[in-house]
Amino acid sequence: MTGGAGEAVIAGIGRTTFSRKSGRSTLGLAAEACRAAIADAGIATAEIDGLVTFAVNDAPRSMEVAYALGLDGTRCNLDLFGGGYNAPMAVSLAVTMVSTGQAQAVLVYRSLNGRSGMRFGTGSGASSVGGVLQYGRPNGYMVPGQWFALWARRHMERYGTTEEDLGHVALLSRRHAMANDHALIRDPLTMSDYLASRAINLPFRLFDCALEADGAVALLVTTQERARDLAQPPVHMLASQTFMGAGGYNDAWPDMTEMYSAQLAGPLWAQAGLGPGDVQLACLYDCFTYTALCTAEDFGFCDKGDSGSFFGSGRATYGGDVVINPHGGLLCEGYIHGFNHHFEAILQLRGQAERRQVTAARAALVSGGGPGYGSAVVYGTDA
Amino acid sequence: MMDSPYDVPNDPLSAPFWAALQRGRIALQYSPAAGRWQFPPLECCRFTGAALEWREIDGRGQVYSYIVQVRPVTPDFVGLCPYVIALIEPDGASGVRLPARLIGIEPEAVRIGLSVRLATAPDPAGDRRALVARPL
Repeated sequence: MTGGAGEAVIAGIGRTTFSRKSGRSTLGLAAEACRAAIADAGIATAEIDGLVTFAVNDAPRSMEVAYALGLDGTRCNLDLFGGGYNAPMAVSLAVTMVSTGQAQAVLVYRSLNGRSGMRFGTGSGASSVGGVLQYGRPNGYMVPGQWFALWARRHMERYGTTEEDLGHVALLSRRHAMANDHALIRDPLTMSDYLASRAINLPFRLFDCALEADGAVALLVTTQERARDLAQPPVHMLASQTFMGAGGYNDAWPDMTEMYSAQLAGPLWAQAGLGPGDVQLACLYDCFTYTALCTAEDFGFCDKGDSGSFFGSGRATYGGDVVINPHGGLLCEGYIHGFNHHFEAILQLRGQAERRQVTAARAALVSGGGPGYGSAVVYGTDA
Repeated sequence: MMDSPYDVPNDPLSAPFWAALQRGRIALQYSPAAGRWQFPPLECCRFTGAALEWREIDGRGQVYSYIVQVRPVTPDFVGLCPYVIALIEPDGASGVRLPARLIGIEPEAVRIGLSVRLATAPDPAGDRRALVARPL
């Protein structure tokens, strides 16, 4: 996408090891991932003049990361509050900063101790909750796994989606993760293993839930002109769209068989000048299996209500229509709040994904968020 | 109150809702200007900015969706598991969905569209009242 200062591109990617217990500060993790992205791009650290991140009071602010990187003066810092719905938008905002000349080289990162520190699924520390969570708290209703399961149940009722259909996403992600040494969980998974996994809040079981993880991922955005002299082939952002529905109150969403993705898919594909048949891979936000099922339909990879067979019949993997989450997704690589999806998409489009490389990958969709609010981008090898 | 496993927030927006619940009543905001119901509570009508009224509802409604909670989110719900959490659409209050614990029915028998009546019952700690629903 272009602005006053010319096109901005993704010129570097970096990440830490993902683990269940880093034993490190999120500041240290953030700085490591940022330095890795800087080294990957082959740019001088001193050229970095902007940082963008998102967090939920579980990570340091961007100015602290700037300090840790030895930067004593940046021109654009942006600290977004919130979850994975911010991930694609965060990259898009960095692209905007660079393309409008507000900065020359911007790091976008997410760092968290999502397993050993603040966990999203346990309600830990939530004895006193305000806002909309207060109405569910007396009945123990207060975490995302419950919201998404309510949405899944509506889809099951309307389209005949089954628990095995949810399982197809878990199995596909696991198969993909087996070719990814960075993935936290790589053991084979059968449908009977899936169905026997611990029930959490049915229809969700343990393997319907993203794998909470500690770690950090960073991208480096700079101008296309600057990227010509850098180390890696640039990746372009062809489109970016955000939709914030339901005013942040998901329970009131009119039709729970569709997510935010039904609202932004049309504008996104139009902006990219592409359709779902034109991307070779998609990193669909899979905080839960159902999120991938529903958004695969909304983005047009299969008909509405048909996502179970889409994931179960080989259409969503190598040799099929499109490869969904070739790294194993948030379900198996680890839940870096959706930001690891961007690392994977860039790696694939650079042709550097080794034994899990998607053939002739030229364009990729990356989504983040749900159920009622989210953002998505389309990346490509050509502008 | 000190022994409660959770604290109702000191929130002027929700105070009338919680106060009604402790009396065994369900009160929601209604906007005469818009002719619409509103939940969660706000200072004024989100459609028109006009003043709101608190109105009690009789509690009849339908299950919009539900989950079976097998593992508790927090330890105070261990004794209740497995239990059903449902989103209830109260009759006559279009656009509102209320999260409630569905009781008086086996989890396997619950269906979307089930007719229920919202009521209040002691929470797991036994010192406040929470929204529950029973099949009609």
